[in-house]
Amino acid sequence: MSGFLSCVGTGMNLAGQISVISKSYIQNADIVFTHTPHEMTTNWLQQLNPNTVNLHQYYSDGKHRMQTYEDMAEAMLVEVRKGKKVCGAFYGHPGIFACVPHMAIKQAKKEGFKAVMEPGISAEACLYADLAIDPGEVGVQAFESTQFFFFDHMPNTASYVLLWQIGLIGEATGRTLSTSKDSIRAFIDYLSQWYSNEHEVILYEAAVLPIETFRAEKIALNQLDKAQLNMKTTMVIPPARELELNTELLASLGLSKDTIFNRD
Amino acid sequence: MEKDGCASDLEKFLIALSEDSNLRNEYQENPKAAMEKAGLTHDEQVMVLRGDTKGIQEAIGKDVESLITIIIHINNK
Repeated sequence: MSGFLSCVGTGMNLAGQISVISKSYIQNADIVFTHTPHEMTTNWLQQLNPNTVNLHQYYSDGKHRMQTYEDMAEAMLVEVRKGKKVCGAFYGHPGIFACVPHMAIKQAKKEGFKAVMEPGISAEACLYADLAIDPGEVGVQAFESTQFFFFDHMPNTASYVLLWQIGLIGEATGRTLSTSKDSIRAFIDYLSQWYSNEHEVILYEAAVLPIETFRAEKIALNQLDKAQLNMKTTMVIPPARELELNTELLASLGLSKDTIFNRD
Repeated sequence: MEKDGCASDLEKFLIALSEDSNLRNEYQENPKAAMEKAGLTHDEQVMVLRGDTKGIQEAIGKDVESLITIIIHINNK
């Protein structure tokens, strides 16, 4: 089995956030399939490897997104089965909010081919840098927004909560790429179980061009239905309460607040 | 950039700005001088300074804002 599949991340911001090994996989591939935020990145990839195919061609109005993703994965696998070195170059991280690389790698391995994933700089990685949030400070939970809404997840209000794809909140058809004011208002009501209407949230968007600045718009939660929500918008909910020590657990371990915070 | 291809000065500049920390510093300190050095026209410089991605799209003939997300959707569960 000589076919080989690599799925690599190109990072978020044009050409400058790709890793050395990911760039090498692209340059050494027989064929590259791309899924990037804009054509300028695709053009740059074509300069790295002229035999580059844009996966955007598999989207079409009214087509169910899962069918689109299956078609994208199959397009890469067809070339792997021909014995080619195939590279899928996806913006951000190829394994984060990107089902196509996971599907393609799983199937390639199932058919006996070697397949690897190389990480990239994701929107989440950019978020920590741009918003100066250290996930180790009080913890971070991350959910796809509609899944959070529909599947009874519980937020930890002492940590940050990242809600990805807030611009698609409540979208359940798999055929459109938008939300509605009614869905947003229902989501505000849903979040009011844990957060006050005035709780400040951040609408974040990573920059995808070097001349852009990231978006970090702070609004009250109850203003969400009036805000501009795009496909790439993430809602960051900062903590609503302080972390609380589990003193009972500490006592069972022979520890106390004084002993764990003692620098001496 | 690995190969010259057919990229315009504007496109080359934007790619270099994402890759080259010295150029990024130069641009942040004196954007006009950095763009002059890269051979950008006056109109291109104005578009960049305004962050006019639509204008840039027209200038380089590419869709700069066609962000499409591969979604892990609830229907996939």
